[in-house]
Amino acid sequence: MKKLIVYRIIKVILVVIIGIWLFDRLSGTKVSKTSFTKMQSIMVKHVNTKQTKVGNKQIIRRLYGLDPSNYEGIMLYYPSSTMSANELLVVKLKSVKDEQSVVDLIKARRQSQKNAFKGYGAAQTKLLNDSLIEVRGNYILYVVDENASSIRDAFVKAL
Amino acid sequence: MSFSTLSFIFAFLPMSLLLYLIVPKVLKKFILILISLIFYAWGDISNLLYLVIASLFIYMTGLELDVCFKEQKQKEKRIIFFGSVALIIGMLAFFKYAGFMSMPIGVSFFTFSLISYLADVYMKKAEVEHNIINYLLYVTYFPKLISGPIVQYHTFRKSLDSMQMTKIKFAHGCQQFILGLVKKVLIADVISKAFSSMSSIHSMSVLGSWLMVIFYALQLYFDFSGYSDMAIGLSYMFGMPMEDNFNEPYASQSISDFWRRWHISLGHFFRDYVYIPLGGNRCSTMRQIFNLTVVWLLTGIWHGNTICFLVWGLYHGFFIILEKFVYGKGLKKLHVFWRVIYTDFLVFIGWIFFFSPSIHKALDTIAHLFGHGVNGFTDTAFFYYFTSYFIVLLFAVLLCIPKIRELYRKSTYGDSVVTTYLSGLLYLGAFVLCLAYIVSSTYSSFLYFKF
Repeated sequence: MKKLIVYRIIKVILVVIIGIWLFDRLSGTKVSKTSFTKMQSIMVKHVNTKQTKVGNKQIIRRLYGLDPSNYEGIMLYYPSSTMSANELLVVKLKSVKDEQSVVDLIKARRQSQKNAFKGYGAAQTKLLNDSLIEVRGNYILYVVDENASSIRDAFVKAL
Repeated sequence: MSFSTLSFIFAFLPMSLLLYLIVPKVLKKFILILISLIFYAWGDISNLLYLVIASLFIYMTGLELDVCFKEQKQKEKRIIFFGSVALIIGMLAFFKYAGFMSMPIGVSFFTFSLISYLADVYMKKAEVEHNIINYLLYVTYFPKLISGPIVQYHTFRKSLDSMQMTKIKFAHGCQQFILGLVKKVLIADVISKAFSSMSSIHSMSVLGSWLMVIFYALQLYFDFSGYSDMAIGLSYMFGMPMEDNFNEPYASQSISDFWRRWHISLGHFFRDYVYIPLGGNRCSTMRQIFNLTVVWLLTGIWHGNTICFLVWGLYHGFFIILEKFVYGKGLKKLHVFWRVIYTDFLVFIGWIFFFSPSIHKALDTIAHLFGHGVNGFTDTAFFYYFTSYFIVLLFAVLLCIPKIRELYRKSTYGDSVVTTYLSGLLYLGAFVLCLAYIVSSTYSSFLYFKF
């Protein structure tokens, strides 16, 4: 009987730990109600149009392996020339459980760009190293730009 | 971390194998748990805590059940078992369906491992594990942790005592790992580009629609069976044999046969922990139909919370019930070719529910297959994709035919030393080719990671 009581006390402690962990995870995931159209109109103002051009659904699939139909909204500005590394991607998720898979694909894209510029594109490599991936609830931002931090600020403000 | 990345193949795997090899025998299991936790944390450190805490919770439940067995507390035992299973299934449902947070990687497979342990103890298929190292190794063992195969506890426990690295097991493991890599990198990832591209075309022909569905069927098979082969291969490398998870499913001769060859470990899980405890087939016809419906409903729900997965599960259940009670005997009288055609036709139609975002879109795609709402029988898109992907399509289809694989096995592993060396060279060449593909392409995740 003593053993049972000890086991149960341990189980209660474990359940409490899971509860605290869940609370912590959920409090960090605040879903934004900003519409994707509004977000898009704000982010477009910060796009470096000299170094990037708009990416359509096919380009998004090719460069990131993301299927646009799986997301509530997605916008991409990708390098306008092979010598440019600037990029801006904003994804509005349908469900936050897709967050990890999208971030993985963004990281893979970043790595593939780093490999492409390795050895000769020092400036582009620096930009890629300084690039930002920002996950805020149901929105994800990936930005490769000289003004990456100010673009992130605009993104966070728009949420 | 994914098995098909350079960091896994050239850093994580060799370092893990080396570490496991050089540590004293008494530390081997502990090291393997550590390796497994690092493997998990590499991909999803934020959810590692849940993995550890949930594992400990079920371990304590096992000990609780042990006390109840000894003190013959039948009612309490039942409450503890069902209460704990309900709790971890509740957590799984919360992660999968509530959508409040990102789902911990591999949570479905990991939860099934926990249920298997508890159910095996409850049903007395295995003893309660007092050694926490053995228990944690079963739960966290990295080859199966993220995406299966779902190894049942009693099977794992039996193999654990004889777990030992040997040259033969290592060679077999390498071979199976490379085979999985070929399936994933050279076939599934290539076909996925064709499927992804075709599925964004608005107007399709009949042949184009069929080609798209075939592309998906092949992609899913080579992606998931490729992953399973890699997982089994890795396990062999560490000296732990694992049963196959796929057995040429597109050569099945009925839907029931298909489910004995596709995701075998999931089928066994539902058979052993749901179907048989419900009464299996040792009961009335109506009860059997009910049992089968429950199993297929759960299979559908396990894959996702959309109505499409539910329909997909029940669709398979429906044909299994028909085969069992209505036309199974008649089906057996048909020539084997027609039985395979019958099975693949139904399975491929079923995959449409699997990949479609809504029932409406799934029904539209099915209608396209039969000429409704399409722009003709054939079009330039069909010819473009068919000719562009002809080689990989042919290679994939050939790999699905049992006789071709049998022929390959005989020709490469005959008694001759020459063929054995040639086979080794073939695997080495395939490995190098896979690496070239991995280096030159963007990382592509495994389809079953999302489940």
